[in-house]
Amino acid sequence: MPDVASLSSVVTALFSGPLHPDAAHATAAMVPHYQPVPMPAPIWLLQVLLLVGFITHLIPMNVILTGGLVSAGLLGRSPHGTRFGNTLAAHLPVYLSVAITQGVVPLLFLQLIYGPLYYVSTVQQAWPWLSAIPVLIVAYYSLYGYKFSVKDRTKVGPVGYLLLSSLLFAFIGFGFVNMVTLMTDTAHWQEGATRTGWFLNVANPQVIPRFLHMWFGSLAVNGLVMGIYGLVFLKRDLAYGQWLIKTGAALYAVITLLQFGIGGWFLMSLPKAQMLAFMGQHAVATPLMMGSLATTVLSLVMAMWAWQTGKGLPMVLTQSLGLVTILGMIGMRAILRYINLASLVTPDLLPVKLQLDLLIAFLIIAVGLVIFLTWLIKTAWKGFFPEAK
Amino acid sequence: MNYPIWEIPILGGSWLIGIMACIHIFISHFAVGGGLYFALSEWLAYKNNDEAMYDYLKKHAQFFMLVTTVAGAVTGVGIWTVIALVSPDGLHTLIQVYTFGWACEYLFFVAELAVVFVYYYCWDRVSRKTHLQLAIAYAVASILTLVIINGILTFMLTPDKWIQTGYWFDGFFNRTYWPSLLIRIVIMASMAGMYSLYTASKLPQTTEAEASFRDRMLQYAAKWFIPTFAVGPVLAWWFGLNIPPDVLHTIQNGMQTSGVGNFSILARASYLGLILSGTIIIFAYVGPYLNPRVFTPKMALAFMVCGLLVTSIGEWSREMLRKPYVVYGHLYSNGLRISDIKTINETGYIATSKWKPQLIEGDVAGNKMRMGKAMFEGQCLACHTKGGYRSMPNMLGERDEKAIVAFLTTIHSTDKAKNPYMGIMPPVAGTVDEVDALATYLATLRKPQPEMH
Repeated sequence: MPDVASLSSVVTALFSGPLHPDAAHATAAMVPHYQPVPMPAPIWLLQVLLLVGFITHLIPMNVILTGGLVSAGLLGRSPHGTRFGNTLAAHLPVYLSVAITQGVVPLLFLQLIYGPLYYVSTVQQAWPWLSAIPVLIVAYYSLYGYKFSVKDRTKVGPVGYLLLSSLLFAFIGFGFVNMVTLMTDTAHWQEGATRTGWFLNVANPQVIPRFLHMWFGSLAVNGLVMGIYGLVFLKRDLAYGQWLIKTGAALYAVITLLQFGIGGWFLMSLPKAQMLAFMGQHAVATPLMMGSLATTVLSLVMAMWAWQTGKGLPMVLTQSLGLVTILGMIGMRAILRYINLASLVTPDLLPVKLQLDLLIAFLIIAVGLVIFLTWLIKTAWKGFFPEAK
Repeated sequence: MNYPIWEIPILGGSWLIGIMACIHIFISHFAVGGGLYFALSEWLAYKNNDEAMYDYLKKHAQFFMLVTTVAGAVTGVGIWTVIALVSPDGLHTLIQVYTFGWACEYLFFVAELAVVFVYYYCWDRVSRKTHLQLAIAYAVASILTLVIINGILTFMLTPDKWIQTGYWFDGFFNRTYWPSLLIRIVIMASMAGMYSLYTASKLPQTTEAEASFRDRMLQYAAKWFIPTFAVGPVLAWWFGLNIPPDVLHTIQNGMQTSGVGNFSILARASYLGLILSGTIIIFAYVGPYLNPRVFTPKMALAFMVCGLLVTSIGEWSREMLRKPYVVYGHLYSNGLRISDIKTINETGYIATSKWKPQLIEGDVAGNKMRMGKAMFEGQCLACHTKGGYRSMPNMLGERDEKAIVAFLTTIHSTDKAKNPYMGIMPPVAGTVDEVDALATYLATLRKPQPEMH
């Protein structure tokens, strides 16, 4: 419900000249109201679900973002390259399906917890944001276009499909970075309130480095995923397995080295207060940053080892340390958002009325789903590898 | 305005939602109906050891997977996206009231997608008994997604006791829940038949054996239309009995006045839907059932176009039934809540808005126009456009500013006796000055009037 006391002060401001002489002040006043309906669970639980959902979305999303490019880059270079390029390309539609499905979770909880900011941001860039839907469909069918064009996995198919999908996923990723930065970039809200739905937040210095950080990070993740395929094949086809580990480790190492520069650029692009939070002024953000840097360096050392030897152990260590780094970065991202939004919305103060029965139903179904998926994976595994125990 | 405005030229927000919704529903109904189709068909193939049917089902499964997991799944996210853009308050309300309902639907959706991939990719890789179990698992998972989403969709039309209690259960299992669920299930079965008419029509018929198998599959597909036409009218009648009385009155009034050419748009849509449905059943019987040999893929596509039209009319009518609300009796389609109207009328729409017009000190006339424009954008643009669908200039017709003020004064009232538009439009909310400013702005949207001599 509107607060009448604050309304009267707004009315006074309304008729005393231009409404928003100070953009920062004005935009803070423009943060929409939450709905007058209680939150269905404590905010901490909703935040946890947001974070868990995001983690499960992140890996498959990274695979598909540049997976087509990685496949296209490997096809035709060597028999191993063509074999893996075709294998990854054939699996990309499934990764994409998982990425989309898991993307629903953070999208749901993001809208629930930060809805007022999320909707303001998306409405201002409505057309590019909405265009992600047809673009995603074209990219998806593009992946299937390649998959169903290749009958023999030792041959190179029409790589244009793969390149097109990567280009389209990059477009979606760029739109997403715009949306996320505009959520917190209230200074540009007035500028975006043009009603046309065409506003992009490219004037924000974070957008380009943030996008590049994500895009190159996806190449590194593809290196780690190659390593997983390598580990699977080590026992069945040693030469191929080692090649996968070496190539995956090399990809991870080179890109991660590059990421020090891009990550530094991204850090420098943050507003000073946020940047300093990672450089000594925040009790959690700083250690998390230091820890992530340390695990990144360690993972690089392990990746070099895997690159040289093609062995399984260093690849497992690279992947484990890489995963820890990713989790650390997700934590940093969450802190960054929290710091950014704290002055605009305080979801922690919203009324809560726990929907216990529905929550219990959700948990029971979740357990049922885990059991079902276990059965399903076993069934599929037996189908594809009947000789496996 | 709680949120900034996105002005969608020509189409308006409702059509943008409508286009995405029609595509999604046409595919998602196939996704659920297809689950029943695969489970039953594979059971028949399993029981009769029917190799030809297995081969056909495998081809149909590829088509099914490509359509439902890509276009079906992505347009589902698309509906969510477009509603969030056009009606942020509406979507936020639905998400907040049913957070864990959506979450449960997501879980069933994960199961549905996972099993469809295993079902397709493990064809001939697992035993036939296991494969049949996969088909049944898919059918169950897909029906369960419907069980959830149907609750949220019907909540929007008939939230029932939720309005008073705020308890999710009261709104979820509402009075239109069961008829709506059953209607959708039988329509989904028809959709499954409709899509399989297409894939079956593409089967070869170079030999007599092939041709007779093709005949059999086309006749089998045509039988999937039977449930809709056998029980559909009864279920629709049951649904109709439970919709809000105001809405029922609008439809009945339209039907009763059709003789004088004054019937409502809802009645027109109902007639069109009935005509198209009748066309489908007659041609399904005369075409693929009685004359499968001459039934071609192009005819099957024509069926699908009819199906898309009927689905679109059905969903459009459902949306129209709910007008002028997003959540009936709680939230209007322009984002205003019933509970806020009194406060807004007393305090002012602009004053209670978060996104306000930029007013300039001393520019009295200009500020009035700016306020009027803000009123229009915040309260009218959700359903009207400046020159396309439900065009405001067309609606205004030849009214001058004085007539517009009179009309706005009528719809400013929240008393049904004084405001006959209450059932189809939200009341205009704001102070008398703001309503006056809106009239001034609306007068500028009128088409140029011929000069009087």
